[in-house]
Amino acid sequence: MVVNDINASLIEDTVQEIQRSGKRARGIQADATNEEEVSRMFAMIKETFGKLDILVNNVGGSGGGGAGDTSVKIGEVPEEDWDKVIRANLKSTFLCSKKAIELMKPAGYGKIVNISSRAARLGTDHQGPQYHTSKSAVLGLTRQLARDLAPLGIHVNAVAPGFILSSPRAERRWKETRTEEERQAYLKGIPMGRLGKPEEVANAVAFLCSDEASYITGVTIDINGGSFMI
Amino acid sequence: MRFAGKVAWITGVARGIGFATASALAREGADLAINDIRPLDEAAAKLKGMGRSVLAMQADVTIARQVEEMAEKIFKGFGHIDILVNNAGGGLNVPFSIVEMQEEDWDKVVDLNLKGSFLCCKAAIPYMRKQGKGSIVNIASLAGRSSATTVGPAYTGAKAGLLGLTRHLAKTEGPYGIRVNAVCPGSIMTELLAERFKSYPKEEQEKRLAGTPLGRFGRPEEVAAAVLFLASDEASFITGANIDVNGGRFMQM
Repeated sequence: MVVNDINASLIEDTVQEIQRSGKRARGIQADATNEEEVSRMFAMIKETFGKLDILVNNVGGSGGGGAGDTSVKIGEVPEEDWDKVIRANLKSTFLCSKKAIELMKPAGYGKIVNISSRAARLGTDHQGPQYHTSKSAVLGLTRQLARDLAPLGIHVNAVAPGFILSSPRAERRWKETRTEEERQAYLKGIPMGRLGKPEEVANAVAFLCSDEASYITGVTIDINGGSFMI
Repeated sequence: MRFAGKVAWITGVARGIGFATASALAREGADLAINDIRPLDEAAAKLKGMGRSVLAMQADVTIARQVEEMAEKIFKGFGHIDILVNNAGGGLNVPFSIVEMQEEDWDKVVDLNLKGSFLCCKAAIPYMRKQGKGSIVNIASLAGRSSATTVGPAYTGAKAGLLGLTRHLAKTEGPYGIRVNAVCPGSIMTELLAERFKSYPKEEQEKRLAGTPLGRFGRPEEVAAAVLFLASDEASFITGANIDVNGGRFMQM
């Protein structure tokens, strides 16, 4: 497993945890929105493992590069916020997919899973248009790559998580930006009546990465407790 | 074994996707309540051979009383109903054109593909509500997501309706801990179709595969894998969702 983050301090724990489970793991700090750094990362993958079977494009966020939140209303979104978020969610997916395909093509096998968002499917008050737009675009890229790469044996799919308590930051955001009343109203909009867990997203990603999903390409699996159904 | 100790009710099990789903569930430890309108002796024998308890029920899913009796039998035999897979369905060889389609053609296709699922959900949900847990997977179709080239408007309409039923029940049953999802298979190569396909000239074969990016038909086992994922606790935050198993033939937001 190759573990990447822009923040080096977040990588080591994950690498060790994977190694403890008896698997080979390498960490690499790189900015997935920078073509040179992405090239360096994939050169390392090629050198270390000689091949790549699975790519999960999980880098992203509403702030871009962990730089905090960007504005929510279009009238207040500076151009640089727009660029930053589009780069984090969309360009990173493009760059990493482009490099991964070079490694997958010779093997005639590959699985790419892109982490989109329920925000791609509907608007919300808590993220700006730059977030919704880039996550929608990830789904467009997913479909196009699925079509183009199927003849090469490469499957491309996406997942669209709803509100997932994925980190202490997400928990703070859930608790601090909403009143108790607003939280109850939010949960009422989720038929399952709760927020999601990161493992519940991971399960769907693992399914799509596996050979169980051998006739599935170009799809999006919604993991949102029923809060949005299409 | 993801389904050890679970009881799964699957309709339309005599062959194809239904049988593949039942086999996969049995392999993963589930006890089975299987149904078909056709005799089930052969399917039941094979599934029992996998070491699971199998309750075989020949019944018509479009008749309310027969469906209710199935649910009662399952509860009596196993004490719970954890999973329902509404797989019974089909095109029934009615005319493709609406002009030639008779009212009774429409009714029998809609009854089989939509009403049957409604009745089975209606029968299973009270038990699932009491358990505070349950997972329903409806086998819809690519036809319900888009349209179809070989089956008529009744099939497309009924399968689209089944997706609507899926979403409705996901919403109303979510608070009871019941998840309801769908799988939409594209062209799946069942044994019957495989024989027919082989007899086509190469040109015709290619024509039928054009438009499927993966360049082949699917296998029943590949549909079963998606059903099992949705039925399992791995999908614990997924409800009202659909998984397309169509080789990329139809992709939609």
